[in-house]
Amino acid sequence: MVHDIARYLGTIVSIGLLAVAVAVGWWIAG
Amino acid sequence: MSADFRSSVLNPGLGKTLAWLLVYSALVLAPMLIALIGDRPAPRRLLVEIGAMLGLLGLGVLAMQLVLSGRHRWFAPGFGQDNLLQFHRQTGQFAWLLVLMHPLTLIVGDRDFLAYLDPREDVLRALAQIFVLLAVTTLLVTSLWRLALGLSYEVWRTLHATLSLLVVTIGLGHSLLVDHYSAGIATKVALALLIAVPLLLLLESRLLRPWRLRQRPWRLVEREPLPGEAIRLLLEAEGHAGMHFKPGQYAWLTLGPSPYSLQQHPFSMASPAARPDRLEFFIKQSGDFTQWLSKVEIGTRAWLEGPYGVFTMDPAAGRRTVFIVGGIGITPVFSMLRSCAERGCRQSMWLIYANNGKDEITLGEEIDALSQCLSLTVIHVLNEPPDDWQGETGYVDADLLARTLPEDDEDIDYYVCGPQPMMDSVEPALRDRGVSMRRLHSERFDLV
Repeated sequence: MVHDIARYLGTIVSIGLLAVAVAVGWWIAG
Repeated sequence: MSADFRSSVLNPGLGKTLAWLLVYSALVLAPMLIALIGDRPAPRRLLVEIGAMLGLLGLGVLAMQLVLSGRHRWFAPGFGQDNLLQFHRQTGQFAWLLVLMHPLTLIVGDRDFLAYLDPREDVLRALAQIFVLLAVTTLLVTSLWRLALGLSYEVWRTLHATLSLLVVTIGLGHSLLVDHYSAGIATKVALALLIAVPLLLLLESRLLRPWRLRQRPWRLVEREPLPGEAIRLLLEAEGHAGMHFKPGQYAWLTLGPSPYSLQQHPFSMASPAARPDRLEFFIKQSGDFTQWLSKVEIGTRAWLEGPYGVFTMDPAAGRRTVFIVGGIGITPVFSMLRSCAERGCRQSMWLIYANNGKDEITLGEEIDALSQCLSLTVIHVLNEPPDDWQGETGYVDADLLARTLPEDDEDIDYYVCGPQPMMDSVEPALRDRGVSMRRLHSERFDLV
């Protein structure tokens, strides 16, 4: 349970970073 | 404690955790930011630009993987190396996805990018791209299914470090040679310097750190078998003051003439913290390395890297404490109890000690002796009890906790250490009893 937190955080951060990369690519492409 | 037996609670507080995640995200996004700072080339199709950003993000995530797993004490102090490795495991899967999506998105956006994988266009470039795709997939598969694949820990560790180093180096070379966002010399230098740091840190952890251990040798002075297929090792510091540690911490042990060895495994110190020059380990014989430990000669040179771990207690704090352990998970708790005994602690403590059979209780007599000089209530639990057993039976669950423990209170700390099924049962049961995360410290088996 408590150990799963680190894994959940890894997943959440990954999704956030993926969203940032897509958004930046979108922004560059105009 | 057996090899590959690590993990402890993520307990540094929400603010510190969020701050650390922001710093991590900024570092991972740094290659993308560096690429965008200079003169920006004309925009391309949407999927091509997204594909390029996924590649730069992939480089950042892969480079940070080297730092996350490097056991650097200055990096995320208080989180526990074990939690960092859980995080590393998730972000590693994300890195694999990025490395796969980077070329796919580019090719879908513009079929001309297929040329990057065509050896007829550029043999070295195509081979490098294909190698990275295969290497990252190998890293993922061998990490998630190491045991199913029959890979020994030593072979896996060597493969993991070598492939990681190659993937990040080739990834950096690729990003510099593509010459789109990295056309400017300043951008190239900044990217190279940024990625060089994790690469150097990897070399530091694998080459410099063992070299520093050579200044602090240890020697095996006692070895004896214990009940429950465990052994006791006693190491003595040679020519130095030893290793100061907090009760409950662990160290990475190497045995043999040189600290440069593939055989390095984590074990909890079982001795009291007051004797940093004589360290005792109780080790369950569960794998090749731990089987070999039972035959290693007295006088063998040893090397200890540590201490690590946030599964610790302060005996001087005087707080009431509940320990719930399974099998060889008793070792860090044994160090805590011995440290309490040496300090003459008077606070009430409870120990729930779960084992399969009576003959598997590794430290039964020693624990009983400690209960004579501490205010310690010991509750033995056997899953396969003999006919004449008078104690608790079955698994440690909510009912057993309710029967044997006092009402929860803010002045009680909980330490839980054992195999996964026990942890999965005990942790939610404690939370249901009202135990807050701050008072719940836990450590479990089988990380890799």
